[in-house]
This record gives sequence, structure tokens and C-alpha cells, in this order.
Amino acid sequence: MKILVTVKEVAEAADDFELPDGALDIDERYLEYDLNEWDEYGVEEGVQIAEENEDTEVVSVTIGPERSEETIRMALAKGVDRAIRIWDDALEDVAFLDVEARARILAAVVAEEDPDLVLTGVQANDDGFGATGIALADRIDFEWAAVVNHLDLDVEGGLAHVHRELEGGVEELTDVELPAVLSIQTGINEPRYASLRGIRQAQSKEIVPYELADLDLDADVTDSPLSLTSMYEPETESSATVFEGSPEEEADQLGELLGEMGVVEG
Amino acid sequence: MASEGEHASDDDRDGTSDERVAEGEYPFLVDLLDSGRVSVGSSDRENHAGDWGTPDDRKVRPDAVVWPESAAEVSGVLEAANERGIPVTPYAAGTGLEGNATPAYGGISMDLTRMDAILDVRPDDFQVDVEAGAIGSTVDEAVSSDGLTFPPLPSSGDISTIGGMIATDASGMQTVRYGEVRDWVLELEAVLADGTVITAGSKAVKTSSGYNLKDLLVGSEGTLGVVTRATLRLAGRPEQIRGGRAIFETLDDAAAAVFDAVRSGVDVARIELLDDTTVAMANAYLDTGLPDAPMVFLEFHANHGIDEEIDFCRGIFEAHDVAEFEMAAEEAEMAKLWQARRELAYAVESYDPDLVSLHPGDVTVPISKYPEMVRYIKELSAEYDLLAPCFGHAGDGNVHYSVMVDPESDAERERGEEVYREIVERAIEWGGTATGEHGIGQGKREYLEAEHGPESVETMRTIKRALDPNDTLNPGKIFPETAEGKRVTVPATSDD
Repeated sequence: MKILVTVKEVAEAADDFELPDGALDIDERYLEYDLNEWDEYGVEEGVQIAEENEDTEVVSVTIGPERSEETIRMALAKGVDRAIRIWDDALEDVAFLDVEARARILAAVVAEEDPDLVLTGVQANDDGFGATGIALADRIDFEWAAVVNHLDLDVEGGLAHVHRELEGGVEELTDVELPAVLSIQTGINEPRYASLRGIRQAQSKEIVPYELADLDLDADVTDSPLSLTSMYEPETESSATVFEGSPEEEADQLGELLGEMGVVEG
Repeated sequence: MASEGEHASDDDRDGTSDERVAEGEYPFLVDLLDSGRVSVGSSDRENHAGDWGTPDDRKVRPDAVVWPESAAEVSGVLEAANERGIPVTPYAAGTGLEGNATPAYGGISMDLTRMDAILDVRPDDFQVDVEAGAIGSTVDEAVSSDGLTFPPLPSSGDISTIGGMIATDASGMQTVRYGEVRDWVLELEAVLADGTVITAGSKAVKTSSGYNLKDLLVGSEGTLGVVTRATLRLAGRPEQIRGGRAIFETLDDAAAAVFDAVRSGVDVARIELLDDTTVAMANAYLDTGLPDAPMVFLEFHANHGIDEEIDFCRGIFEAHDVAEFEMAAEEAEMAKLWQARRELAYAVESYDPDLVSLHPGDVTVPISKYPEMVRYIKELSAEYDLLAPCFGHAGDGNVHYSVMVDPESDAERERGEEVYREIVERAIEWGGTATGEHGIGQGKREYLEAEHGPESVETMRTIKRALDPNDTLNPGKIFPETAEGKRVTVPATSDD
């Protein structure tokens, strides 16, 4: 059995970032990179399945520049067998890689790898489209289930029994036939810490670099009907009330405010 | 200055915080620390009047609270206080169990929690430099992406500080495999009572150079110096971690199994025992549906061959008639098996609203005496007709126990104290200690001499007087005479 886990290196802006007027992205110097939180759960789920089922290979795939190898190595350190990294000059020039473009690229990887199960995070915590996994399933004609928070895999029967988290605390139980794409919700497992040896061993695991041509793709794969028009920091409202005076006066003012807000009677 | 046991009067006056400090007993503090980092306000003082182990009637409000942010500021406050004869009691998360951070003689409570920086992680050397106020689990988390961990964290590691752990020489569930906090401290920066800043130890993993001041400071409960920075040693995170639970029919079997496993060299990372009383409390609290039977909680760490180690342990437990031996396949299941152990403190506390736990027992004995120690506690419990739940870090020979009494009944309290005393005396008689990891603080002062002998305690006094002749740092702790209000500045034999 082969499991493909899609992972993404995501950027997080520092607290004091600045976004000048007209800028379409936050400047590199304010950004810190890490593995997408949802993908950590996807990686853990894949590795756990491999630990429970013999002859299971876990392959992670990412679209990202060379810098992202550092992040991907953490997945390898936690037990992923090998990794694929796709990057290309054509991708370097694209300001905004949309869901459809990502799905096209990942579909080409699926064609190459022929996995039985694809695990993606529910969403990425930088751009938050939350659609890559499902768009991929549609393109490769796999069954799919979104927001999976429990997975019980019947390898023999080729069936994934999944729990899906719905709004309002409702859980749906679904059986999905393999091959399938499952988008993994946080909390499905407890992602492990990489061990010291795992980190060292990951140094010698393979990260295969692919360019678009290696996947029989043209540069126009990145074409998108969407364009990013602007980015800005929304005004934040603060409703903090600062009381001044002696402790008694401050307490009186607080009491009054709580009364006005209906928190306490009186 | 307030005397021990007496609350200083309230001082809710008008004016800004700084003005109130300037008008108070210690106006010099305004010049030493920025606004907002010194307070004489009653709630700040109340929040520093004791720790977890301080009963309400033994709380003492400090006259002022300070929050230094550097060793230089710690030094400035100490120098000024020492010159003026004002006691200074270091304070951190306040999770101590023996009143270690209670400002017994009032004065200044020095809160180190703002000095919480992770200064430098050096994965190649297995080291991290931290400020004393850093929370244990934050340190552990900060080194995790390098595959490293700080293994001796106490059970309270996610709410207590590294400085507090060093002050009490804390330890925890993994001590059976990795040792106590002392074993993981390489170098310390500390400020002495007169404001002198020293470093003790080195960043080398071994040293034969000079007196070992580092190990003198570790466990000194803030009576010799205020630790401001530490270089800690780290361990590699293991490749394999497996946890589980064993259930026994009798406590004798459970204790004997633990002893046998340790003596046989089973490489266990955690081995915790709960007696049937404690399990009943946990079951009632968590509604587990498990039998009220003695349990042993286990965790194994390895880089290879973990299954062989578990099988070895299982074989030993079977020789002691284990009723059930269950190992978890994954972490979530392990957490479930361990739940009863994890929630224990709350379970004991909420078991019977009419009963309170007298003191948190912490005796530790050589492992061969461990089964007898547990049996002895249960016998005393039966003899005095008092509930005494027993649990703890069995692999270290460390027994935690509570003696549960009706706080309204003086007779019951007295019986409880007697049980408590007999347990400690027996532990010392068997070559053990009154406290494995909580420290002496105020709660165990009366056992210091019995454990170490009068000559050793007098040697400790000599050290204390040499480093802190005015008894500025955390007075009223460790030394037995301080229980009667005496200070360490005067010879113990004096009638003053």
C-alpha cells in the first residue's frame, strides 16, 4: 500500500509586520516558515497507518522552493519514507498559485506515484483556501471525504471508515472506497515529536526535486482565473476600558460597568 | 516587618502604585525598578503570601513584591535589602508543597517569573541556556524541534519554573531513568545575599575544578542565592515510546513487582504505583469503571528493542501475579491508560469534602525497602483508622501519601500528625529521606537533624552564615530552630 501525504510549508507573519499600501504580500523579513499545522496531523496519520500495516510506504509531496526542504525533513524525521518537492522557474514567477493550479500539479504526481490513499490537511494556515484536497480528488477521480477526525482503515477490504466533523458538534460516519483523498482535521491524532535519531536519519532520506517538465506539465499549468488585487490589515477595534483612581474607585467603576453590561444585576 | 504567622496590615491608600511604594516602608525600591515592577498593593502581596503547601493560617504577606528583569536588578534589590536587614524571599510559580516560597518574616517577595527567556539553544552540545522564570514545558517545547527534551521535569512541569525546580532539586516521573533536576544542571548564574553575581559550574559535561558551588545552590531553596540563569543539559528524544498499565490484586504484589523490575534492570522510563485507596478515589473522580485495585503505570523509552524490554517486564510482573498487563499501541491510547495517574491530585482533593490532606508526604527509601514502606503506611492507616492514599514514583523508592483527616476534629488531626511523623521516622531509619523532591521548606524542618545528624546540620548553618550572614535570603526555612521563630544568624545553642 502507498500513502501520499501532501504537505505545505506555510509562512507566519511576525507580530510587528508592516504592510505598505499597494503591497500584495508581507515582506520576507517579517515571515517565519513552518510545516502547516493540519499537515502535521496528516503526516502522523500516514505514519501510524504504516506502523500498523506491513509493506506500506508513506511519501510526502510539496510544492515549494529549496528552502522548504528544511520543513519537509521534519516529516521525514517523523517516519515518512521519502519526499517529492516540486519547484520550477515558472512557479518562482507566480505571485499567486491558486487551488486549481495546485490540484493540476498534484494530480500529475498522483499519476506518477499511483497511491492508494492521499492525505491532505483540511486547509493551510497561510492562505486558507481549504479546497486543494477536494479539487485534487475531483481531478484524479478518487473518492473523497473532508474534515476527517477519525480514520479506521480496512486495508484488505479497500475501505476507509471515517468520522467527519460537522458543525454544531455533529459527527458523520462514512465509508469511503479506496483509492481516496481524505482531508485531515487537527486532533485526529497526537503528532509525535521527531526523535533525535529520526532527525539524523532524515538527512539521508531522499527528497526528489521535480520540475514541471518532469511531470509532463507546461508552465501554463499555473494559469489562474483568479488574481490577487490587494492585501491590507483590517482596522482592529479595541473596547478596553482603563479605570483610574484608588482601588475603591476602580472597583466602583468596574462594578458600574458590569452592571451596565448586564453581567451583574444592580 | 511582619513576624512569622502574622499578616501585615492592609495599605489600600490613594495615589499611584509608585507613590504608595515611596510612602511605604521600602521607598528605595522605586529607584531600583521601573514603575509597575514593584508593588505594595494588597492583592499582589496576598498572591505572594504562600505556595500550594502553605495552609491559610500560615500565610504571610510580604511587605512588597518586586519583579526584576535581569541579574543586575536582582543584585540591586538584594544589596539594598541586605544593607537594611530586610528579608528577601524568591518566588516563582508558587507550586511548592512545603511553604518553600512563603515570606515567613515578611519583607520582599522577589518574583522571578518575568525572567522567562529561552536564551540560547545549542543542539550540538545538548544544551540550552534559560532564565530562571522559564516554565518547564516551554523549555521542553523550545528544544523539541531539534529532537531534544529536558527529561527530569516534575509532574507540575507545565506550570512551574526552572528556577523553582533548581531551588528544590525537583524530580518527576522520569527520574527513575533520567535522574533528578540536579543531574541536568551544568552551570548557574546566581546572586548572593549581598548582591554579588556569581557563576557556578561550567558548560563542560564534567569538571574537577574547585568547590562544587553549583550543586550547593541546587536544592538550597533560595536560602544561599537567587538563581537567575541556568545552562541545562538535554537528552535526545527516544525513537520508541510505549506506555501502559498493570493491575494487581494486592498492594504487596504490586510493590514487589515494581521492586523486582527495578532490581532486575528493566529499562523503564516511568513506573508509578497507585494503591487501591488512591485508585478508588481516581475511579470515583473519573468514573472509569475500573476495579478499585492497585495499579502500576509504566512507560518505556528506547531507540531499539522496546518490545523485548516490555516482554521482560511483563514476565517479571507475571511472576508477581499481575491480573492485567496492558500496553498501548499509540499515544492517545497511552494517555487514556494513564488518565487515573494524571488526574490524581484533583481526585484526592475532591474525594470527600469533609476530609483534607494533612501534608503532602514525600518519603524516599532505598528501593529494597520500598515494598515494606508501602505496607507500613497501610498498616498505620488501619491502626489509626485514617484514610492514607499512597502513590508515587515507585521506581525511585519515592512514596507520596496523604493522611486524610476531618479538619474540625483536633483529635483526628493529632492522630494524622502522628501517622505522618511515624512514616517519616521509619523512612529515615531505613536510610531514606524525609523528602525526595519537595524540599524541607517549613513543613519538614523538624526532621532535618534526624536525617543528617546535628553535626551535618551545623555544617549547613556554617555555610548559610558564611554566604548570608544577615539571614536575608528566604529566612525561616530548612533549619529546625526557625520553626520556633529563631534566625540562623545566631548560634543554635544560644538562648537568644
